[in-house]
Amino acid sequence: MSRLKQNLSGLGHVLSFSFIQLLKAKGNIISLAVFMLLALVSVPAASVFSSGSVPAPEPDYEYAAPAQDGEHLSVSYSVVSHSEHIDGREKGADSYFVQLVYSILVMMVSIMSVSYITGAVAEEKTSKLVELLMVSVKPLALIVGKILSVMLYMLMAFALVALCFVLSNVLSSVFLNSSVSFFAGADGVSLLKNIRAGTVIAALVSLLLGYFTFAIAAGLFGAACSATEDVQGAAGGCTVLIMLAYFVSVVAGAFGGPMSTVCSLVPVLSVFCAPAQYAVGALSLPLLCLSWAIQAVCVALLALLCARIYAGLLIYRGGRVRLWQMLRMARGGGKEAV
Amino acid sequence: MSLIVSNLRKKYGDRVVVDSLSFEMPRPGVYALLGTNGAGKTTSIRMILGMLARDGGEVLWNGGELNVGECNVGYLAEERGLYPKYGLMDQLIYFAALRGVPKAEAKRRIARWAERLEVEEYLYPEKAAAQSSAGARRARVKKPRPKLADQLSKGNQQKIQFITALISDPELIILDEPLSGLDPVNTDLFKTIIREEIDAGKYLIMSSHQMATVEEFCTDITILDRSKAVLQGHLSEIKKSYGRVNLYLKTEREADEQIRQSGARLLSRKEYEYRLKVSGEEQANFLLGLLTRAGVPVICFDLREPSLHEIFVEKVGEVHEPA
Repeated sequence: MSRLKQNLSGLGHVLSFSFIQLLKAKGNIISLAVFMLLALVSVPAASVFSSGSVPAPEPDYEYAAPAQDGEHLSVSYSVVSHSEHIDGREKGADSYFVQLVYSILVMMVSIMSVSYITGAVAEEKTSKLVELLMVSVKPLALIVGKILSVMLYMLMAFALVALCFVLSNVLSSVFLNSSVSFFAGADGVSLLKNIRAGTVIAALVSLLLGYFTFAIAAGLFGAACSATEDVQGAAGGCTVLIMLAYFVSVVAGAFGGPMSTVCSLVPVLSVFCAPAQYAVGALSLPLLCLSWAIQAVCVALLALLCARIYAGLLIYRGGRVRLWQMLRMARGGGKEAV
Repeated sequence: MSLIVSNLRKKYGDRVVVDSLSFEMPRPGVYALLGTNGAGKTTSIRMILGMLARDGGEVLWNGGELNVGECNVGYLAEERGLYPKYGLMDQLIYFAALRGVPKAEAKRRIARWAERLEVEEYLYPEKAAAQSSAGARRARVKKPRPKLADQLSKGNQQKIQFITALISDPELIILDEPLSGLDPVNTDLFKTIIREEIDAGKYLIMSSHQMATVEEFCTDITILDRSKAVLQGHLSEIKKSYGRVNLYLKTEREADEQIRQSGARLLSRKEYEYRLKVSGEEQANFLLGLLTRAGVPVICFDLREPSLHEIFVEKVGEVHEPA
């Protein structure tokens, strides 16, 4: 315990410094402002462009049998939703839609995080700062500080974008009486109200586990770079992995069935599949928990690999270290030369 | 306080990069780690600082294992760097915080060092702008932006890095090539500060290829060659052991014949200035006698111990000579 405490000494300083620098970076300020602006104008813009072009769903009328025993003849009807009417086909479409939206969200978070972390770790190495830092702070504190600061930043950025989106919805429904609004649809049903707390928790836990998986991998790949020109390649490796997982998850979401269940259990893919499949009822809670457990083991193994070789990678200079070289280093307890 | 480095060893695969390095600093002073490129100096320093896992040996500070988290260490790495796109002040405060210096105290120390190392204009641009009238006018209109590291010259970056090494007022200072890349004015500035740190009773370990600098500051040395220590000890004693064998001779006319007769080895010659290698004082006196008898006017006759540069070249050359 004291060893862990020693290894994490200085974590607070690394975290706050990295976070403040992320906030101060001009590129980040601009991109966050653009995203917030897009979120703010998204609903009014959609409302303006779609007004009159989208026909309101026609209610299906069911004929009720006329009242007997001299009662007034009456015709009752009930409105059934379009999806209920063609239930089987729409359920698959819902599943695909949920999977697609969630996968896009995860992909965006993952790619941005990977890019930040790889860049930040590689920057310290290519700027030849690592040795100076390592006198004061252990490599574990350095990488954990970076991962947490990027997580905080992403959380803050998404909270701000979400806030703008909510604001955009509220303002649209109030001032434009928009039918596009997620809060006040034409039938008065709120889509957001239909999202269960369990689904949100499932998404957050999966997202967190996925974030740690990709972040640790990004840290390792970043530390494997010795020159600025290596950074793009290192981040590219992680990005390809994320994109691949994204496509597989979207395809699995479209097909559903056992394929989506298997994908929900495979590490990396499960980040994309498990919560979406759980949300549409295609994955049971025990299977979701199993998926988390597998993902957690994967994170722990990556963290272990990171702990073994990160320090060695940081002071290594030369060509970009390949995955097999990292594994060889890990076998040698991180002491082996690359 | 004392620093004991004992039997340090490091291997990469089958290749030994540091082989049983031991030295001791029982009192404050400057210890030099010298060696050819790739001899193992930086690896040794990294192991001393605990950055690199050792395959053997120990580093003791005050009798206990050296822990950089507890011992106040200042380090100027050979490969120097700063965050290129972050503010200089932010970086200095960050490095100070990592070494346990509170923010307010760090700011005071930064101000002192900035003045000392003449980098105030980069750390306090508004102050610098206010000092020039044109700058002051501009500053009233627009607040001058703090400089980023990549806007500084290499020498000025080195000054900022020097501040990061000394910001915690360390008791153990490790300087890896501290003067490389500096102009003569800044070299003197750095030397003055190093001298002040020595006078303040600090423990310094210095690694350098500039033998004159090492000779100027260091009391004890280790010369490393291909992972092994080939020469170790107190510098003046090492020099004494070589004897006075370097003779600088300046005459008013040619003295080649006398030099030949004395058996001294001619190293170089420029007009009537000769650099000679003699076997000792006896041979030198013999040459002086020959010159006097021959009536050659002697302007300068300077018999010295070999310089560290010569000792280094000789020692490393010996090792490299084929058997």
